[in-house]
Amino acid sequence: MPDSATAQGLRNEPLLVVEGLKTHFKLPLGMVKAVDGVDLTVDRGRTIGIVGESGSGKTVLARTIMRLNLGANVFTEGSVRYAGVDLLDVPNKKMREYWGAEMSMVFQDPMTSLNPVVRIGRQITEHLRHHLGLSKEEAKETALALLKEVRIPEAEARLSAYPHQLSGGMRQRVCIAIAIACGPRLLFADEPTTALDVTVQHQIMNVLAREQRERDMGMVLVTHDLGVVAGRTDDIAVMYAGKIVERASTKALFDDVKHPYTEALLRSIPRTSHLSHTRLAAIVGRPPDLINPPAGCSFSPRCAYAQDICFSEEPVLQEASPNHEFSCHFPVGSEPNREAFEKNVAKAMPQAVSIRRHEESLAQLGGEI
Amino acid sequence: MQKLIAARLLRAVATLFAVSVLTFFMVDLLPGDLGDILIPAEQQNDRAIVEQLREELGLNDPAFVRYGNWLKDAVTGDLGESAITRQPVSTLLSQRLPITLQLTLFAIGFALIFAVPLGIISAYRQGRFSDRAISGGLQLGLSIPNFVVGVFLIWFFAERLGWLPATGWTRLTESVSGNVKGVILPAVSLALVDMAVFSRLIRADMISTLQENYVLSAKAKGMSDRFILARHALRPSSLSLITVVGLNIGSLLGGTVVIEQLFAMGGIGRALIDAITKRDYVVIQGLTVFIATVYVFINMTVDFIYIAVDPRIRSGRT
Ligand SMILES: Nc1ncnc2c1ncn2[C@@H]1O[C@H](COP(=O)(O)OP(=O)(O)OP(=O)(O)O)[C@@H](O)[C@H]1O
Ligand code: SF4
Ligand SMILES: [Mg+2]
Repeated sequence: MPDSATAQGLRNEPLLVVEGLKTHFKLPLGMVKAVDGVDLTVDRGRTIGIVGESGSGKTVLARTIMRLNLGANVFTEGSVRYAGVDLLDVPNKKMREYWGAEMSMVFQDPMTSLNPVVRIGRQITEHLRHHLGLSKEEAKETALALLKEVRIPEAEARLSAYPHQLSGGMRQRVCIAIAIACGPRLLFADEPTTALDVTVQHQIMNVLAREQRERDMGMVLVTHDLGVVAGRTDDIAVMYAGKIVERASTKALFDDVKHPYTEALLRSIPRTSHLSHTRLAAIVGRPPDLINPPAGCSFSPRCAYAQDICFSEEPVLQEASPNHEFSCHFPVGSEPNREAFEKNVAKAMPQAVSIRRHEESLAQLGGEI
Repeated sequence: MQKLIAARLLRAVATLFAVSVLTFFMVDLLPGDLGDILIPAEQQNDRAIVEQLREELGLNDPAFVRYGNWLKDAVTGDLGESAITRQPVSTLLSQRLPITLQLTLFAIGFALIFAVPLGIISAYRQGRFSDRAISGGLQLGLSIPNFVVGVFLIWFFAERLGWLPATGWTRLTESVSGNVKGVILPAVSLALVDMAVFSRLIRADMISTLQENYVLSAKAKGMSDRFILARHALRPSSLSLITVVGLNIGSLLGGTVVIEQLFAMGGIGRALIDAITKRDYVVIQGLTVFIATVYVFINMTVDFIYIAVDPRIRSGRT
């Protein structure tokens, strides 16, 4: 659509290349560094998970890439190349040709992301007609097909329903239908299931995954729950305080965790096998202040392995293997890491002690079984 | 849905009843009554004559009997007649209402035509120059009394330019253009304040609507700002406007004494003032009940418009 660059596709370039992306918000108290130097690549037809706690900057990152940051107090830096075009240079008006048509987003809360006073039908057809120039009837037929595709029962009747007449899961299906309607090549899903019941979460994730596969879309799946992305992404980027602290193929990340923060996130995934027996190991402390981030490693105030160097020197991204990067002075699994841990336990550092206890309780449980 | 409408209708009837009781007894509480005006001053001291007349008029009956009689007539449209001119109140209404009604509709119409776009632009450009210019202009409009505006308009458009008549009202049946020309200046004088109020309402509601997630979703679909404002944001932003428009229609229909006076138009407002100064109790009662009834009907209409605008109300969720 926009420009021949997309049409030709620059075949061997990835769909999306983000480099040195920064998004800062100016507040009276100072600059909120919500996204602070992110590099990211999404290949055609692949799914990347962006994982991090609440407040780590995932939403801001996704919206900055899509150029959906509203507000006059935003400062953005870096580059976002979509099919060869730097979106940060695209004028606002022109972005409308990308939104919905080339890239679209499924938002977190299906309760509020549909207009309560507009019928479902119009909400699915309006951009079909706008982008693809379909007639009313064609658009309606397409909408019907889409609703069936995302497995909405009685699709025909739903077209004339209002959002409040649908359950949360059904609404999120509608949102997915809306997002994929014009055949985008890049789909963002920003915590698409957090607002939903656990039983519905899996169904929605399945719908998303199937659409992604069948339509061969690139997908960016944002979540705070590593468990959600586990089997559903090709790659995972772990975000902390506006930075990506570890990135790897999903398998490599689960098999060979390097960053202590990723390890902590993994530890907090409930495992059905001993869910009822042990408390989850919650990450000690709060996410950092984004206006005045800690010196050195931003995770240092909460890290169980932190040593003096962590409080003064910021670790840079380094490769563990060709498709696995992390930024840490004492990577998990290394000898220095074990030594650092023992030192911290000896010093009775709370986060280190809490992990020791957690390990002990797991070991005990293993003994009982 | 039908239950909802039935409930609203029932409420309207109940309110009307309460209103009629209140107005009847409140006017009844005013010092003096018909006897005082109907009997010539020189006969006021003649107890026999006074008593006879009071008896004939039913003024000595207990209040609730008088109310019953009055209500019986009122529901058939007979609001009694003026003690002074002998003109039935319903005739008075049929003469005065068209003037007031037309003035009201034109004033509200003018106000809305300008207020809605201005409010939308203000909200869309919140804090920018156009917003501040619009808000400043409207603030000015809000602070000038409507008769001052009227005087200025008469001076400029009637006296200087001679485009529009300064005073008077022409029946629609006599001359359409004459009728419309006559109503423009008084309607604009009335519209200015409403325009400012309406525009502020739209602006405030629109600003909060524009923060809604569904507005962002529409944007993420590639819809233009204009489309989003008109087709997504306007409807949910219009509920408080609808309420206030209803209230203002009611108060305008209740009469706009100063403007009617200034433009020499005999509307409901003038009729009511005349009746009050002459202590024409029957007319006061009749007009008051009429105005109250208008309010009740407008409120009901507002409720129905709410139902039409917001489907969530329709399914009884709110
Ligand atoms: N418009 C804004 N102005 C100032 N600060 C903002 C703005 N938008 C976001 N932030 C801040 O940026 C940080 C990152 O927010 P973001 O919403 O991206 O987090 P998140 O990782 O998506 O978290 P969650 O899981 O809660 O959605 C937060 O501290 C937030 O307060
Ligand atoms: S070990 Fe040091 S560098 Fe690594 S995460 Fe912990 S604090 Fe940061
Ligand atoms: Mg978020």
